Amino acid sequence: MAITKETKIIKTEIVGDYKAIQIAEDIIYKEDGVETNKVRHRRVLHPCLVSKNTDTNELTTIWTDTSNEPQEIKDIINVVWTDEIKNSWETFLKDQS
Amino acid sequence: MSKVETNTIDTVSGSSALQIGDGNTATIGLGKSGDTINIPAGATIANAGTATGFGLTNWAESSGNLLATNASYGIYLGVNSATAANLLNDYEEGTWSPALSNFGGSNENFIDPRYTKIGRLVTVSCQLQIGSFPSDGSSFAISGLPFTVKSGSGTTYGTVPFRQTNTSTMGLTFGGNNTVIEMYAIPSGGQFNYNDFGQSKQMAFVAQYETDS
Repeated sequence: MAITKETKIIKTEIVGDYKAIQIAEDIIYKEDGVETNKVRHRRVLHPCLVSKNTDTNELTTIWTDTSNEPQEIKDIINVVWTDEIKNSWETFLKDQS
Repeated sequence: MSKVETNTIDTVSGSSALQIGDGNTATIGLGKSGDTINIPAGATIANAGTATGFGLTNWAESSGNLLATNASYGIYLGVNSATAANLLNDYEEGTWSPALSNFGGSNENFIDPRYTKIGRLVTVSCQLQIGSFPSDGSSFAISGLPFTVKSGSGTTYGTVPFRQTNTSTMGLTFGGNNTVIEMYAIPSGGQFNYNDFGQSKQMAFVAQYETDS
């Protein structure tokens, strides 16, 4: 008996001025090739996050590692995450911190 | 096969029932493609058996459930005219992948992260356990929300019904446009960092926010 798990992208949406990439995936479990369970999973990609050290008030930008994303997500990223978008998102986060 | 051509079939005097087909098992045909079968105002079609093929345009049946032909279709609730504010056309439940933003440790464990979305309202929940970690003054933030928080500068809020942390009462906020939860102390409003949370501590939370998605 072989139990397998695969992830299938169901929908991608570009959300908001800062082009967040919202991804809906189905995680599909199969037993000997027959689907036995399916779970919806959600995640959202942003160009970066900004972390604040609350002791020093120092802000650190952490750029999102997209190297392991499926090619169809990389293709979207290459189109929508222009330098202008990335910079404006980083500025927005720093202003919020 | 015989054929009867007439304009009206009616009950005999004194009878209130007209029966068509009462012998062998049969399929009763009415009209042909392109015809209109008129049910006059005030008349009722009563079904005590199984009716198939009836229904609303753009809706089908799937394992006993109503299934729309278009994902944007929904149901108007509590009104008898189409009002956008009363349209429920989105429901989803699933899992999400929370992570601690810029956390210096590696001993964190998120248990059973789940979400439910009803219309624009998203409810997320999970339990978080953190083991030992090097001192870390970075702001305590959980990234990975399943939907982007609605745009605008305001925040929405949630509660932490269970916690064993270094700091007493804590609340959480969601920043607009983002997918991050930040923790604050109550009532001071001071922003939490990982040291405030503490080592070998845990919490569970249920939180709600609105999304434009």
